[in-house]
Amino acid sequence: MAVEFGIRQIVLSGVVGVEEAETMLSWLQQTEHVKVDMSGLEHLHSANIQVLAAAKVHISAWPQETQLSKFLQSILAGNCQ
Amino acid sequence: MNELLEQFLYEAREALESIGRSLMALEQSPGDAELIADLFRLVHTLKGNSGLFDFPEMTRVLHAGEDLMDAVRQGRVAYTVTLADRLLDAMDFVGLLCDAVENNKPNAASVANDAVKLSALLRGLIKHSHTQEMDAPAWVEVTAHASDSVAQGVPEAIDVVLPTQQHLTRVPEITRILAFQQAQSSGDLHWIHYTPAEECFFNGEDPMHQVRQTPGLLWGEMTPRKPWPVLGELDAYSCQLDFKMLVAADHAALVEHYRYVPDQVSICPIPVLLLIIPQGDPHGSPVYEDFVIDGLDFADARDVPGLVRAVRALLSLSNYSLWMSSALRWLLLLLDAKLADWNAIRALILSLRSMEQPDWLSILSQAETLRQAPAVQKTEELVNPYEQSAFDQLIEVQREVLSMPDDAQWLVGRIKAVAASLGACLRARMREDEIPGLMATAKAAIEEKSSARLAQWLETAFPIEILQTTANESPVAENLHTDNTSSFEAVDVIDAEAPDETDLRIGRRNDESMRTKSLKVDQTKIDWLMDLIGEMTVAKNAIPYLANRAEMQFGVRELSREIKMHYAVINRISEEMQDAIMQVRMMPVSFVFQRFPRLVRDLSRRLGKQVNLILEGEDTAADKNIIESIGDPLVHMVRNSLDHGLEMPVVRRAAGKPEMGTLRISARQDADRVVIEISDDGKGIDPVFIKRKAYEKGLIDELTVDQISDQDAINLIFLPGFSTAENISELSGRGVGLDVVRTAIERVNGSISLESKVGVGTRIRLSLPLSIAVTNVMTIVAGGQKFGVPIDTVVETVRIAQKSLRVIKQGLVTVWRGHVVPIKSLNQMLGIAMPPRLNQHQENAVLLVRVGEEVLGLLVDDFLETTDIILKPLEGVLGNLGAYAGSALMGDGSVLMVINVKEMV
Repeated sequence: MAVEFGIRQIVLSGVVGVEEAETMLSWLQQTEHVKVDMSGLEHLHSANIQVLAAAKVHISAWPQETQLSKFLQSILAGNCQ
Repeated sequence: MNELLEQFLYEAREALESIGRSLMALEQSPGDAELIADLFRLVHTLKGNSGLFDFPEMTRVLHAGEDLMDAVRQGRVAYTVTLADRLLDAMDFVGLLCDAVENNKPNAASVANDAVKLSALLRGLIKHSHTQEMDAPAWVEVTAHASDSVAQGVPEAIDVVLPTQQHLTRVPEITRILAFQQAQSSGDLHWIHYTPAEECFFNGEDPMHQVRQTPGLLWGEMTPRKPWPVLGELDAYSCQLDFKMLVAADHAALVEHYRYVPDQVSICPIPVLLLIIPQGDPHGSPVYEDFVIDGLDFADARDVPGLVRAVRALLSLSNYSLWMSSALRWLLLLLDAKLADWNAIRALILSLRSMEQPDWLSILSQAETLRQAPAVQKTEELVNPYEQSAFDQLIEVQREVLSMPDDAQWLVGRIKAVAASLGACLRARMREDEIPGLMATAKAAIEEKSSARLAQWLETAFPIEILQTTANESPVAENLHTDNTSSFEAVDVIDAEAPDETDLRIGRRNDESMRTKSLKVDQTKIDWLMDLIGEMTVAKNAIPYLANRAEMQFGVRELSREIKMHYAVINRISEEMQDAIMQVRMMPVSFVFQRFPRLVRDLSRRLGKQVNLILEGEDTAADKNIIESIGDPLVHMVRNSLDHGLEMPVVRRAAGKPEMGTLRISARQDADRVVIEISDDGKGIDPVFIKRKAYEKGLIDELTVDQISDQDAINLIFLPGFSTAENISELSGRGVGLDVVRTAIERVNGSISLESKVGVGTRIRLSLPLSIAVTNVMTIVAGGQKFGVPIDTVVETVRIAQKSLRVIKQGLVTVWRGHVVPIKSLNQMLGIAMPPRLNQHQENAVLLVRVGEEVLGLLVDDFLETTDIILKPLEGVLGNLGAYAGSALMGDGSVLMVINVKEMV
């Protein structure tokens, strides 16, 4: 399972494709103060990135892969206060 | 070959033809806005389609063509004959590429060069007129877009091209150091700004993936295009991300990687010095002042080890987080480089005093100067073309910068930057004495807050003509230019309200509505349908036999009548079906006619003749096979007319004719034939001359020379091996000529005739059947078997009494309507050992047929009805039997052999 929704938490792992963006968006619209765990993430489709960025989610764990992590941090890090 | 590619090739050919046609039409009415728009749309579509595949050369040339046509469309460039020539050349080139793709041939190495050359030629036209018009509306327009997009929160145009210091600062120092070191070894650093199209997700693109796969990616970041809306209003599937990257890879690899989105990405080479941005806590101490003095001494002495020691010593004393430390670290890196850049080193040392970032751009241009100066000194002409074009480009960019509107708040900085660059340029060209003048002008410009003064100076100091010479041919200039355009296009894409975009959309919609009307079907499918309807006809024709059997054999008259009634219905439907399929196979003659305007234009220009080509009856339709088979013969005859028929303008004037010759090609339908006439008002064919030539070549004997009529003499030109041309020209006159034409025409059951009057002109008339699919034959009986004879060769069927047949020498003859007609026995010719049967009145059945100009009688047993058959050529071993034109299946299931009378006699 690439996307798992928990209690105020999303766990992303493996390759998350474009089709998840809509689901994630509607879930995020109903949930506040969401944390996202990306530790097992290998690739995140651009559409998902924008959804997470717009939802201003808090990232609890960045991906292990450095390059991806840096890219995601450049747009999502501002959300982690 | 996949289907998409096949479709592309098909459409490309069509588009190329239409482009050629539009250009021709444009030649007649150069100001026709609709034609120009049409032409632009064609080139644009073709370019877009070519982008689907990996044909960079094709896309490059088409892109240049598109830009040129866009310029024409907007009235920036006027239509000229040169423009048409170049565009036609470019389209020929694209056609060649298409051929190569179709034949699976790899492109020769020269192709890329040709592509560059052609596109440079095309772009040269844009540039040329761009520089002619001083106010250069194109650039003004671009900047207008740029400022619009700033208002919308989209990065301004300049960002798209070169990263600002602000951007580079975002790259961590450690990454920049890494990049710096890599650049020392490999040399290529690029800044990429990637702005994916909003709807890119729907095309299956994932910009994030694309970006992560970028070769040599050192650093990257993504930013939202505008502040995120509240979640409820967010469209997850409209891409709002921008990507910026620092990469160490060569330009070609990056272009290759982003080849599918060239309009959304700007790839800009960045000088390595720009990476040197000291960062940190801006505190200092007097120690640094001492260091600056010592450091400059070391630098002047070119003492690398000494300076390194001094820097190390100071670095060990400084806090790591200080701005100074950062600057010193960069200094070490600079000193570590293979070739120490002393200018940069000095500047960095000096910056320790002011704590301000050195102005790398101006240092860079100075360095350039020093590097170029010795080369220039040696000999002015031996300037490296690469550098020369870079130089020209530099000047061109300054010109563009100066032509931007003056309302920007950074105008002063801009003028200063331009002045610095131009100063460096002057130094590079050994024109240092002009620098004070430039500086004074720049100062005045700053005071006036207008770049006009500087622009004026630029025009006098670096006139356009000089720049034009090398910029046209140089690959560098070309590359840089494409970069520019692609970045500006990126702006266009963002700005959805730009007029261009809306225009294109309308164009696309039109395309779609057109497409629904016609269907492209593979010819084999039509042939298949044709075969099926043939079988259907045969099956249908069996029904009357059945009805007869019902009546005669079983005595059920009622049933027989009902069967016949149904047969009538089926017959009607199948005939209509056959008609409909025939209609599908019909093609207008414009298919062959359309190549003539270009042909005539090119040939007449080459020959120095003036020709007015008139095409008539282009809508006349005939079977596809017929139309295709007359293409080459027609071209041949048109060439002949141009080469031999029409005279040079001087000769024409002397003969009292208008200088411009007329060549008329007309097509019309005449009953069940298509008649095509090619007539010119040239010098005509002189029968005396033809007779002499034919005699010289041994084609006719002396007796014939005296007896032959003028018309017959003219027809001699159809003999094999006949050529009137004194000299073999490039166009015609190689002795393979009209006989080949005649054979080709006769192969499809056509005929050709020629009329000519000396001094007045020549007319060639082709008569062709509408269709060769259905043949009307007369069935005859010979030796108890049925045979078919094509009805168009049959003159008459007569019964001739046995006693009227005479023997002259070895042959039978008879007198028919006052003519002596030779008679031959069909049985004998077919090898049937039976004498021809006579009827009860002792009369022979004689079928009079036409063979060429002669009439001949064939003795047969009996005549039967005429029928429409679908003639199938004999295949395999039987295919070599010349005596038969083919076979056909009859309604009762029997096979009818159709005789080829011409071959047999």
